[in-house]
Amino acid sequence: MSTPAADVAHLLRRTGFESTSSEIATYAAMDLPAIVDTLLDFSSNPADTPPASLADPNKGNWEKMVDLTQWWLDRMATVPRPLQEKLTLFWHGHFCTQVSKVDHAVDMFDQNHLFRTEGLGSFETLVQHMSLQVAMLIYLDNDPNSKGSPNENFARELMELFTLGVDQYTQNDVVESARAWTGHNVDYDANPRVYRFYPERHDTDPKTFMGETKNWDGPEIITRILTVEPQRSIAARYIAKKVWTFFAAPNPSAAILDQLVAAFVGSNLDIRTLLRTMFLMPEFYTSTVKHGLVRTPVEWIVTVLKATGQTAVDRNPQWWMEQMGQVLFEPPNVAGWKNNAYWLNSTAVWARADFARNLTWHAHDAGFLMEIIARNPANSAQYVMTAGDAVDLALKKFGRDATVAAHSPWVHSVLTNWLTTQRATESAPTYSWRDWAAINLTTMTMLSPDVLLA
Amino acid sequence: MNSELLDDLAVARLSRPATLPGGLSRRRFLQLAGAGAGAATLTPYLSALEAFAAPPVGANEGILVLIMMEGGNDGLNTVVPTGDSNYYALRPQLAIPAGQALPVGTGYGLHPSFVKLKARFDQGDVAIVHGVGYPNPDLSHFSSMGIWMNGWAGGAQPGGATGWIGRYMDGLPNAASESLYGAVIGTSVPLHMVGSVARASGLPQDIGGAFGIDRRDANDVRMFDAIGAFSGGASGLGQWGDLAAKVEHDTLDLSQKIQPAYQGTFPDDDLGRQLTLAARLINANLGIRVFSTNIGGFDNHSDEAGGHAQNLASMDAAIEAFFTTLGSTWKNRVTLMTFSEFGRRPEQNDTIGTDHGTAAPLFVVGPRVKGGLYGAPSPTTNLDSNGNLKFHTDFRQVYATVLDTWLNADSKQVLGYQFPNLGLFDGGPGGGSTTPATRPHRRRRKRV
Repeated sequence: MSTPAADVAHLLRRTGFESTSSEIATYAAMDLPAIVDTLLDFSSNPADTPPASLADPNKGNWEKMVDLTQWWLDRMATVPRPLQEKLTLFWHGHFCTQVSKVDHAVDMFDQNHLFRTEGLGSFETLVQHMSLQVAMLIYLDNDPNSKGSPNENFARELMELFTLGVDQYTQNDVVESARAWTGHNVDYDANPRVYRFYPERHDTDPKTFMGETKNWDGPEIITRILTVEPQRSIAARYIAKKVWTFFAAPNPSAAILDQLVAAFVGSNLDIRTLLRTMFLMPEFYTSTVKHGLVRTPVEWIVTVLKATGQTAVDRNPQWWMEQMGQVLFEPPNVAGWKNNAYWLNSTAVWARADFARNLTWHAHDAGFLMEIIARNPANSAQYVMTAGDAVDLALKKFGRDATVAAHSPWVHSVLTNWLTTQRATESAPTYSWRDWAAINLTTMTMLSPDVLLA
Repeated sequence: MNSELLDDLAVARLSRPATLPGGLSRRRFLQLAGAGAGAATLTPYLSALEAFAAPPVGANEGILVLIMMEGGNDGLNTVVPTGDSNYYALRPQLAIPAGQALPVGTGYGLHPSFVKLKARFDQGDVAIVHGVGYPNPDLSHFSSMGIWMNGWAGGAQPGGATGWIGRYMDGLPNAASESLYGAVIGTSVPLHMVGSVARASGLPQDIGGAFGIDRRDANDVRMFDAIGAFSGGASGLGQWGDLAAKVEHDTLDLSQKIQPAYQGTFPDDDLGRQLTLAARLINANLGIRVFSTNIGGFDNHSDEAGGHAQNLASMDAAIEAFFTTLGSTWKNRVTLMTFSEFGRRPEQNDTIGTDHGTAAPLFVVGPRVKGGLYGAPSPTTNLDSNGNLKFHTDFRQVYATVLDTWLNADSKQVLGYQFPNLGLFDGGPGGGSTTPATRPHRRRRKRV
């Protein structure tokens, strides 16, 4: 049994950041379920020990966040099973918090760690644990939510953004849920600050939530939403749609969602089951999906770092990320980042081009793509590689192997024509002290639609 | 837990990366249409996306330049009530001495930093609107600035939060596909410049090293042109492949168009640079109708005097630089307006500064402005229960005046309510009558 290489390449791009031709070949020899199960097995990924600066009392928070951002980008680029990191990124854009409000790197890391280690298991468990972390308690103002002065922010977003979507609950449900969540606060006297339940701040009076009256407590609200119909299926559909939108393409059809929901509900909202079902569906391999997503800035950065053998620690992509529109640990608001068109605008283009150029120089210093300027030793007027082959090589290095994956023939022809002209300006056998063909092809490939698309 | 935000953080949370509209900055304005996944179908904006451009500004069309004063500008020390003994009693160390204020009418004087602005006032080009604010004032930077930026007075807003200029741009021809009706300098487009379909473009602070700018080297030119050529044929990667190529092409185009504006010298300070750039970009007639600039540092909780004076001096110089850089053919088509999220408390605090307040005056400046003092000043002897000034002119009335008279828009549609006109202008842009002249209905397709 084997799987078409084009499908394998697509699956690897969506479950990771960039794939090599040998990886594609290895997986193509397996059948799809075996591939998917392998990609979903994170056991070979190293433990996520955070950067040392997080524990250093002499470091400021800004510095810690730089370290944390670079650490995460480099982890994305290097772990054997990058799907774990992609999934962490997905949850980060779903259960949003912003470091500008949470303010402590260590709390952002704790949340990041939760998404990584529990992001593939029970959805209910993930929501329960996420709700009682300092980052979320602070971000959605549950930290001062107490009896007598309830704060509805978390209670509302828990339903509206995190589980059910708009209009699937009443304002009264929000009010009662807020009461149920009173007392689940942050202990600021502890160092570091921690979650703490304050019984004296907790509202123990009867509350009516989704038609049922009892002394609801916060965690019970989550259980109610995620284990009792019809909310359970509503939640399943809401999450399934977000997952498909992130990994496949926007606007999944009702038929696609029905399949995903059936599997998700049938497994008691097991995330691994949801992902596995998605990656095994034939719809995942249609051109609608293959052409369905623009890479987020994070994904694009990791792809180009990985392809050129550079690290975030050395290249500081975080200097450009705000202009690209995506700052890790700082989504624009509690609803997270949007997609596709959201990333395509002049400001982002300038930022990507600038970063690509910066990266290009360093890659060039390490000899990247210099094969293409090699001349024939017997006849120095000739190049070893044809222009077309050189362009193939460049695309392949960035994960678009023209022989096995969909690439853009038009872009290929533009680059080939460009290289032919460029070569004609560099007369043999004079050594060109600046190897413009290799340098500029590197930049252009990074900025090609092939590499901009997921 | 004190969640008070610094002024620049507050503004950052009300801004978004220079991308498509629809994002929201706070739960209060959050209203998601459909599931929260974010629409990604190819909107009309994208399918008809032209080169980053807008139809050129017509002879009788108005351009608005906004200056956002971040942090809450101290109105009482800006337009000083020199005849008010209570003001001097409340601010023994902080009040501006009457002899230092620059007179703008009986009992009022501008802060001494506003030398040039005072000269313009004397020419009849500055309207000072007293006591601008809104009911139930919010003393949070974030919330109040959101209110000023949103400017909607029509009840619940379908489709989520937008800004008043954004909604103005929504009503312009081909709003969904023109990206230069509005512009800001920088990467974040503030909420007031974001509409339902239209949004301002973020132009760079500095273009010197920007990709595509410097075409002196043949190798670079070949590269830039090849990247531009990515959009010369169907990508074969679907609509997103095509659009990704197109946006790169258009950005390279845009960088050439705006490049001249970035040449030459600039003032050292940030606002000076923004306004000088704005003037040059207006001169280039790229079709920008509204330009938004910002200056921070007005949240003077302590030792206000020196910092405030310096800030206002920067503003004075920057506004002067703007008008002197502006080409003479544009003079009668440009108006400049300031705004801030609130004023400050009349009584000085223990650290010779002031805390968050409410109403404050704002300036509307330009050759077509009917100079003078408008609105009713907020007396320091009749404060609200928090010891703050009571407003008399709703800020949306200022917006309505600018929208109707200057921008030839329908303020009732943009604001959701018909506010009375304040009569701030001599007439429409270009020296025409108040009935607006025709706007171009046919877009001139500009393709470089």
